[in-house]
Amino acid sequence: MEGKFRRAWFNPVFSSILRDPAERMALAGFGVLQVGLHLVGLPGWACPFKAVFGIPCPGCGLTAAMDQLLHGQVGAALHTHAFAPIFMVAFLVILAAVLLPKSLRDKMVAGISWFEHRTGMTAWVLSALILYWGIRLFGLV
Amino acid sequence: MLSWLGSAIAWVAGIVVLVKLFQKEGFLKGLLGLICMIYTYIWGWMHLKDESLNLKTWMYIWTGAILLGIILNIIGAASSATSNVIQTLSGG
Repeated sequence: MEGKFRRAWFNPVFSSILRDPAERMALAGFGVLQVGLHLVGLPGWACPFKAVFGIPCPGCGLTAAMDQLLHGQVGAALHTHAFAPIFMVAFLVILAAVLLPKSLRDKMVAGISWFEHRTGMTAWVLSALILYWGIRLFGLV
Repeated sequence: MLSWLGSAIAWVAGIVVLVKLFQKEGFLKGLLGLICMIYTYIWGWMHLKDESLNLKTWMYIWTGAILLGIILNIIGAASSATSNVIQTLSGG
């Protein structure tokens, strides 16, 4: 049981996405489109969770926060969504994985995979995000 | 009302695909799909041909609901713009 949990926790999920050419291309494309539409003031991906229940999902506000980050409004971005800088870095890494030549990309992905495997960083970040969502829902931040 | 219905259909289809994502890829990717539904949507399209997942119908429903939402948004924006123009022309 513990071994299964450890394997799941330290599973290098982000690097597996970076390794898959179709997944990294699709995520980069959707990301550019989503942030680009927001930057020009057009509606992008509408969160079905918020539309149906009227309460935000864990990722709601990330696009707006990334828009603010791109405009240098770091404080406002952190207020909108505290995880915006982390997602911005992840987005830039995905873009780099799309644009870099194969040899450099392979080195980068291997490094990220090793880091995820050693630290369980992806699991920590995603779990912290769920916790942050709960705190936000109860209006504590 | 129609817009809400479209969102509700999109939500149900999204949840079905998300459950399949959890089952197929494990807890962490499932969590990522919950936080970022765009990832669930992309994953759904990428695994459309996997017969064991049976995603085709749900992905078509989800995409249809998204398209319905976009069309309703455009109609809403156009009707609001038209009523503004009529109001301006009638001096109201």
